[in-house]
Amino acid sequence: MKHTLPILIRKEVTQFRRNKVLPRIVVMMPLMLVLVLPLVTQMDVKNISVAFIDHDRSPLTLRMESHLAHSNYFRLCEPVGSFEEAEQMLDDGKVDLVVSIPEHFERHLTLGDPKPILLEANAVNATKGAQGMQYALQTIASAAMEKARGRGAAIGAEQLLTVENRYNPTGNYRHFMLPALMIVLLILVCCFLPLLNIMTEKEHGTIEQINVTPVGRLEFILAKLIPYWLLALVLLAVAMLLAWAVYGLLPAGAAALVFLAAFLFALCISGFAVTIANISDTMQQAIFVMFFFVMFFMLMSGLFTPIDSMPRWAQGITYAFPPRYVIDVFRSVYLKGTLFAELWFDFLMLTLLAVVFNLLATVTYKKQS
Amino acid sequence: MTAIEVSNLSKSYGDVQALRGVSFAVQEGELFGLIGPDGAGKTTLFRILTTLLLPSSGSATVESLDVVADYRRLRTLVGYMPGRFSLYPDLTVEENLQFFASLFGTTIREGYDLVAPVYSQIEPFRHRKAGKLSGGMKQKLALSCALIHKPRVLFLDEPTTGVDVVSRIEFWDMLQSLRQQGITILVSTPYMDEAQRCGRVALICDGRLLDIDTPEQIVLRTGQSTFEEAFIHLMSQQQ
Repeated sequence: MKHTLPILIRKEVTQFRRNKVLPRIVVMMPLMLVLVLPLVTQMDVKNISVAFIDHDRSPLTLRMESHLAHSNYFRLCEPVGSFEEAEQMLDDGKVDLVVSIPEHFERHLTLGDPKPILLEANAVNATKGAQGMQYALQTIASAAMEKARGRGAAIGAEQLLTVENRYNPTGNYRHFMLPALMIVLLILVCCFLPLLNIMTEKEHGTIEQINVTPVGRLEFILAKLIPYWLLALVLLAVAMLLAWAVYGLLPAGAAALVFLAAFLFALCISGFAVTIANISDTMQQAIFVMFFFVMFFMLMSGLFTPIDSMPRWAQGITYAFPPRYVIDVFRSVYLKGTLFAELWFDFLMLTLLAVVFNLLATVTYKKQS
Repeated sequence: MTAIEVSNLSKSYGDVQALRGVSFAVQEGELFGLIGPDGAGKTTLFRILTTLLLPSSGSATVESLDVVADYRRLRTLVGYMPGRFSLYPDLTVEENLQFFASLFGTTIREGYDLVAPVYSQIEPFRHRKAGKLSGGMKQKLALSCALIHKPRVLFLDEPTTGVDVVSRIEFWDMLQSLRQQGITILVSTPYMDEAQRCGRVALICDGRLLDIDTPEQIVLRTGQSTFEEAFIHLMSQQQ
């Protein structure tokens, strides 16, 4: 009864188009993903508010203050009189960083007996604290360097070191995040939509009405997945075009590799979604279980934090997570132009996981109980 | 010829025994009623006969096809209307009917003759979403969808539960006319007054059959004046 597949697919499409919410959200997704997410998932710390206490008021410390004031990273707050006042502000969360310059700082420095500058950072947000400290050190050091160079005595940091960001020349965080964020589209369309769809049929009892017809189980599930696979690939293409139009970001390698990985990934996670739907009795249960897994998929896939810096055992777990491989393919192809020959492991694992998840889906599906 | 043959059928869900060795036979073209209170095992029996559920023990055939071994072929021959409305609320009346017709490789036009007495009543609303229909109209649509592929046997699980008195009478009239077209109908109901409209009935309680006969014979045999009293009499004897 192969002729029923187009009928089932047409029904799915009609239902999707008739839904008041889903089509709109689907249009919004690539737009939000490309226009908003890269800006907000920035790990670069900006707008660190600094209390600058200057007990020296020498040309050198004024230069430091002006450097801090002109940096993109800092926002210098109103002049603060005492260190105690500044610490209170740190406690109250009004400033992130306190820079305190001791009396006669420049004179002692010139005499070769420098007194240390005190830096205090709010490290509740460890990244922000550490990075703020780092930037402040650099800024203060460069001010001191300039001063020294003014006397023709020393050399600037840029003359000592050459820094080059390979594969992402401007060190642009967006270019690093955008390809990886595209998997969010795939997860939403191929994980959540089929899950919600199947659970709706279960809750309405329509799945039983279908089960008393000659429609086979494979056709029924395929008819649910094919439209979402296509939708996911179309949305991916839209997101890639938007990334090009807005940020000028194009894959350095073959776009076909991106699509191949995306398709394999879609197979993996839709098989996973069908499995969850099969073992769930209610929509509530299904959504909760799915959120549980998707949370770990997102956080343990190298999307935000590098897998290499996770504990060994956690790294082991990530091998079972399909997002890990697809993110690696997306980033490598986009930024380095990596060839298929070097990505074979990712593709092998995606294929393997696709087989495993879909076998699970088949095993857990019962037409008779 | 026998349309439905059930022999010594049992089903248990864990500790709960839903059916305890049920046996009966329904002849072709019969309007056979399964009468019993809530929780008697009616729905379980329907789900086994429509291949949705596997029996724990015993066997059953519908149109000489085994409900377990020949479930695929059987699904083309039966129509099932579950107790709960189970059509797509976001599709229109016509789309629902069209959809189920095409799953069986047929069209509304081909099956129209059979469903006409039922479907013609809701046809004026064919562009309305099924979810927006009234209870009685949902019932008629569900019956149309179960009939559109011209099944040989029709299973109706409590089709009149929650339907108003006028619609119930109408519904039973429709069943009579379907029976006259040669379709075997197995229908369950918790209402005793509806039992009289069946050719023969099986009384079911607590997973066991209490009696099988025409409603008149059952009343006569128990020496009661109404069918309801006869049923209560049989139930108390059982205990």
